[in-house]
Amino acid sequence: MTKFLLARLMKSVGLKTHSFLYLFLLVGTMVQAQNNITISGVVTDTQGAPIPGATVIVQNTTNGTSTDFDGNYTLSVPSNAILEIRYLGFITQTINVNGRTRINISMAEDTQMLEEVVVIGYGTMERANVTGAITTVDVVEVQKAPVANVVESLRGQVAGLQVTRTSGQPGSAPTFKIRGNNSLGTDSSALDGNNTPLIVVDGVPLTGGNMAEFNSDDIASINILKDAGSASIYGSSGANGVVLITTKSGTPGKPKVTISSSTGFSDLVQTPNIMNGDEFLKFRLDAVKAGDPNAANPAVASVLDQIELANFLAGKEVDWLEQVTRNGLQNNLGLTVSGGSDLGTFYLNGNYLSDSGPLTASDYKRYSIRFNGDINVTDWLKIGARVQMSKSFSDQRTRIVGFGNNGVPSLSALVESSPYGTLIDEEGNYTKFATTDLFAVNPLHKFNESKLDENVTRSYINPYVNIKLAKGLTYTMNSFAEQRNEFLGRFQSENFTDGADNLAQIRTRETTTYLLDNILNYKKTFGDHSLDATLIYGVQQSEWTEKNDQATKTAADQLGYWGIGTAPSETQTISINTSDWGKAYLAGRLGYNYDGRYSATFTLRRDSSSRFVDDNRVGYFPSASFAWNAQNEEWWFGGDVLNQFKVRLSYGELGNDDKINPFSYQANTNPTLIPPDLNTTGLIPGDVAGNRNLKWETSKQTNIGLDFGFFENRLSGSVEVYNTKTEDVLLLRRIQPALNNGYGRYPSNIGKTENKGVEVSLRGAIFDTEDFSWNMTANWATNETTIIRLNEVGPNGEPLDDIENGWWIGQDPTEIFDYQYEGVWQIGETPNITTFGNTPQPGDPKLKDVNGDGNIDTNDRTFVGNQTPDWYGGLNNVFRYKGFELSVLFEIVEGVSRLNDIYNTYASARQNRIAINYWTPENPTNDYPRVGDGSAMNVSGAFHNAIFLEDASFISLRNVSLSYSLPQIWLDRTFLNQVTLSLRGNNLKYWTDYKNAYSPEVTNTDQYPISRTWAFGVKVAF
Amino acid sequence: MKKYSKIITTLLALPFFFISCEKDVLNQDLRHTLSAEDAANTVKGNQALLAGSLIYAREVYNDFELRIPVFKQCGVDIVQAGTNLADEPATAMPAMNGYTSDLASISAEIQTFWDNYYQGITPANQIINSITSSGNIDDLSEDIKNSLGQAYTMRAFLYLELVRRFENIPIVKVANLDETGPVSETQQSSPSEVYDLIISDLEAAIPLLKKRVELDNSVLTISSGLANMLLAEASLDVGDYVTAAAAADAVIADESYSLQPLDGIFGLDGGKGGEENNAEIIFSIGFEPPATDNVQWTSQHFVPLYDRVAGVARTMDQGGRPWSRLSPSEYYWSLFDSDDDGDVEDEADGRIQAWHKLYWTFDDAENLPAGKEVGDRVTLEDVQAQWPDTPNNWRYIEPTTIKTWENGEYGRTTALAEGWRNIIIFRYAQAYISGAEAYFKQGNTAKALQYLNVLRERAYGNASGNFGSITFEDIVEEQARELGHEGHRWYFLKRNNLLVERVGMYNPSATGNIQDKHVRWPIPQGFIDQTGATQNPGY
Repeated sequence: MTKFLLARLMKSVGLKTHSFLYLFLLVGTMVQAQNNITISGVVTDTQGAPIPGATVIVQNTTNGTSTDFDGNYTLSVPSNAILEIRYLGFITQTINVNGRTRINISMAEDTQMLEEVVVIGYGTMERANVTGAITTVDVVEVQKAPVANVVESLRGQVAGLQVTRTSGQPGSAPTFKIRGNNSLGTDSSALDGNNTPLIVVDGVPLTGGNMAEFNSDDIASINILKDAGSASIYGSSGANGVVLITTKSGTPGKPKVTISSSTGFSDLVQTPNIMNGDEFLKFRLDAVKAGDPNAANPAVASVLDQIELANFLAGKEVDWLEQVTRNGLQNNLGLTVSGGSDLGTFYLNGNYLSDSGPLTASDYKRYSIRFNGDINVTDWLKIGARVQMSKSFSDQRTRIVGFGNNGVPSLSALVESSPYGTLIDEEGNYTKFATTDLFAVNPLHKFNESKLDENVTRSYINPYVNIKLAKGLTYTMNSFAEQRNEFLGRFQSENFTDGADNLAQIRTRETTTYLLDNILNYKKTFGDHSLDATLIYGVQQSEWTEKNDQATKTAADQLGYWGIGTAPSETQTISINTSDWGKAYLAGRLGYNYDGRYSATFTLRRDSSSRFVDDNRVGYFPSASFAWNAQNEEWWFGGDVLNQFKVRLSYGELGNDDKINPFSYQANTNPTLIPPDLNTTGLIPGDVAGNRNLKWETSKQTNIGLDFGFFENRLSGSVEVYNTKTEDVLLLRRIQPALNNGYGRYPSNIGKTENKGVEVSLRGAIFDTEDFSWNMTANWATNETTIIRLNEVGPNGEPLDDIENGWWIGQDPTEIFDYQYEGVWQIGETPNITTFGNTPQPGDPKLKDVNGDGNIDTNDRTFVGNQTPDWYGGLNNVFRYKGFELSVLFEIVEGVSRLNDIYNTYASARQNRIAINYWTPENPTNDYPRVGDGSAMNVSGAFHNAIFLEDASFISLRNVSLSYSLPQIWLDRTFLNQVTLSLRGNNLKYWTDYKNAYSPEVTNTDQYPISRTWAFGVKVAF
Repeated sequence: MKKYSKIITTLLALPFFFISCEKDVLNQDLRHTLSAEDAANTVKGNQALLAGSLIYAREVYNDFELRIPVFKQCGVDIVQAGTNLADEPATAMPAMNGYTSDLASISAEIQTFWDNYYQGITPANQIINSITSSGNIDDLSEDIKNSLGQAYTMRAFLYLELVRRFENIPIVKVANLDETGPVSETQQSSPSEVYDLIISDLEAAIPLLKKRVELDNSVLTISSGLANMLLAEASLDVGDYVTAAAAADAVIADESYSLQPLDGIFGLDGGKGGEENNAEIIFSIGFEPPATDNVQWTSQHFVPLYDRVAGVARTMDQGGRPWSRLSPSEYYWSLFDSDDDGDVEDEADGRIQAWHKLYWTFDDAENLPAGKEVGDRVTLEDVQAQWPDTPNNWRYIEPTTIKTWENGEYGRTTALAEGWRNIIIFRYAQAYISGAEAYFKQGNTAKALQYLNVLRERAYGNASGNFGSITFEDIVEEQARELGHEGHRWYFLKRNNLLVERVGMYNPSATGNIQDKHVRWPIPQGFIDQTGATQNPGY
């Protein structure tokens, strides 16, 4: 035993001379054996590559050896022995020696194992036994997308998983959700955050749920848990679904080195049609006339300021968007070394990613290193650790906003600045302001006079121990410690705006998370019955600290934000914010399978959370799910045509406590200067009262699923139907401060939502020949969320709408309640209707008289659409011809309405806007109403939003990947095993009616535009 | 051996079960602040509670989002909208000044104003409850008596603001949220019930408080002078002219105060301990530079957009950053124009020169219009030449009041709209005006005349401007001349039943809009929705 171990150890460290010594010793001990012959040979994989460290053993004995670095083995065995050759990840082989002395063995990879085992919470399960709704993501396809964040690459790949990206800021994370919205959040802006799924990496739920610092190449598998049957093992944090990610391990065998590199170029995928100089001037003139056919033409000089007039006369015009855009550049360089033996495996990856976005002043760089390694201490004890360290640097000056009431976001200027503004002054410097309007900022000036750096350092270690206690019984301890530091440095020079002091800010945030899980698993099969029981006891704890320093009047602009310490002490302010939480949980899962036909899974989790007090601290989350593999019935009629027909049913309860602020049970306080002297501070209560009765939001989820396969799964798929009722939704109930000790909001569990939907996934191998194959996958999902109850009830207990948040009973949480725009009143038409009692003028909007009373007022607002798609999905085609591979992914989102804020203030002439076809007496269009002061569409006017509404449905060409792998025959004479060249594109094209925006998902002018990328890559392995 | 080692290993792993002890993990403490309950038990938290009412009264000027820092100057006969009042939210100052349809119960700013003042009443209630329940007031220490007096005064101050604006308001109690959950039931009191409380609070406060001179002589400290001034105002509102006159006389007799030279009242020379603490001020709400979150937002509102004029640079001397939200009305200027020549610069009333900026001068050598020199006065012709078609822009050089202006004394720059000067709530001169009003209403015209002439003599520097006889209209006019744009006009007009008539006549933004219902604001809709309270008539 000891020697055996020693030998393996020596092999693994590659000490050839010593292994020779060992062999000598081993042979020495074997001399006594009788009728023995000495056999030798090479163990290789199917491609002929030697496998070092494979075990060659005489069946049912301890007589054995392992292969050396070149796959060779030598062993003395009885001439009639049966050899067993084992190697992790390969199918174990048995071979009759039959007197031979030279036996070469080719081992096949155990692909079966990889395909059929599904990673579930706290364990794995054979696909056939799965009872819940789990989607296994095709990681190979996902990794083809040239994007930095793995969540973004899931777009269009999974039925029921919706990813949206509202900002293209390099390094920024998209928002995503599984099966729509269940929770509402404290206000409508928190909706997305509150419905973000839990991300679990290698068994550890991520706090903050951010994958931004993860290298996608490190990911081995992604499984999406969508229903209670699968996710309730995560109890209080599983209600939004769970994304289970496992990272790569080394595979035993000859160490493999992979080097990959790609270079990409990006530009804007879609740009709004902003008015040019001529259009802008005409618009300003028309705005003065405000649709009055008798109005005299104003003088040009009266609608342009001095600066604009001078540029107009000189024929100078600025396209602000063009001034700020550039060719974006993406670089990705990775080096992986992985390998291992029976003794253990390792995986080491170093990755560098840089993304210089398509706008100036927005560079992102990320370095990440991962090491996953494990060692088999004995055949029943395995210890390993996963370690990651990453650091990102992000220049975010494009997000810079002036402080105080100079708070104009720089990027708004790309749309809003006058085309007759001045970009560069006579001295050759960027102007501070485009025009005399001190809100018309020059973004390039702001970039030059500011800094906004955000750096994230994230490191964690995830050690684990795995003990086989008895046959079928294993104990796993998974532990985890993570440190995540965010640094934000912000600076504005004295020259940033006229006459201001400089400003420096340094904000650091530190999150420390610990986790310790104890997992006991017992698997047993007796006869037709098999059992799989798991018991989990664990704790997780997180500490979050934010320190924010600000100062003005630093000693020198050159110091940037690092000069913060040179500021006069009275201008320095420090604020500290903290938020800690902890939870402890005990969970059990019992899986039972009978004869491969009937499966059942029961889980129960007991969560205790520091977020709640007293009786509400503990919650129970049960689920039960069942599956029936009909094709395994003896009477099954489907035969080879319908070879799989599996029906699943699950019900369970889940929570959403992660989204509830810690310490909501008590009223918080803020430091305030105490009058009259204002030289001491004391703590006074904030606006939000505490509620000691707070508890979890509870989602009751039902899922019915069907998995089917035709023609030996050439065509396979699944259909899911679900219904989720969420109760005790946490809302900040508005209360009257006058009557409630000054508190205006009261956190309480009184909301209620219902969410239902259908998902379909299909997978087909349309062609599958040796040289050519064509695989298609498609997914489709529809989802409907309805608000049942909100934070206020009427006198008779009937639920009332929450107008402030735009939430309406019986509607989707994103439903828009506004006037319905129908066209423009034309000259000569006699309006049969009044608006707020006044007769509309020609050029005014025609609005739908919803209540039919002949007058348009607030009672004529109606539900005009929402951001939840009617349906959405993806279509991916993969073609392979010899070494070529082409993947094309389309994403479709249908039935989305958004208020496109880029039309904001379009009726007033202060800022530039979209070139739209607005009404004038000479242009009697119905597209858009008249512009100008008299227009009903003014910023503060009631009908302001009515024309913003646009259909934001789209089809996008999401990803294209073309790759070519050099034929093996070319590589045989080199040291290389693989050379692949690729050309990959992301976000290439939108087909949509929502054209006046940076993408159909962007609603604001101050957002970073969305880019499209083409990347050329090379991957070499040896 | 194998079996044993497994057991040993398992035993070694056992401590992890104990390390992961639930209790430590679940008992988390908020590190950076305290719960409201714990904070109230700290020394400074208690001080904050004592000052709580003042903190919220201060919010109106400090909270940028509220957007109504000069709401008290809005909606009267002596102002009109500045060129850029429309940049404010329609339901905020534009509605408060112009009595538009946006002056409605759904106005978020009116709700916030209401919430804010009621939030200030809570700590006052808590202090009054806790002190009065602790025993006989006479047995308390001087400090505690003073605290109680301050709490009564601030409660009266806040209720007076509320009852004047809304009239039918609830009188609130301290709630026990832990026991009852949120409270949504209430009863509105009649204005007279609220005034009864205000007056009884003030009468209780006055003996407990000290005079400004007996205290630290700071304008920021709540003194018996403030309580008396509030009592005079509240009594005038309810028509109790005897009490009002007595209270005004108590202020006039208070040796803490004296009338100051006209240019020494609103200035900032010498800072917080200098002019801002002058002996004419009864009470100010304090601001202290340079903390960025401790600013007030009144300084820029009465500054027209002078810097848009070619050749006029934005400098602190010319007014700093301009917002042009409000502007004195023609009627206001006419009050000073004794010879009706349309020009007030030739007037002997010293208040014209001391408290107003009447014209702008060219000072930007690089951008001068043709034919102009630095130091030349900007004329109407100059702005007409620059903007021939937009008469609105001609108003960029209109004269204005500088009572709320702030120079660079506290580090304000031309980029900053906000500033740090104190907000003057009451000054000594008001005691003479209110006293005159009270005596006149009692029929004692001679005493009223005498009080008005005290202010006239200061304004003219001699008796040349003195009244020989007066009508009530003289009080109406003198109130505007002396206290104009300091935030008292609306209440004065309201209690004398002049609001609708005069504002309709003289405030062009309100002409045609103002109606009888506008003598009070609407009760916020949020409050009505949750409590079923009754809306004020007409809204």
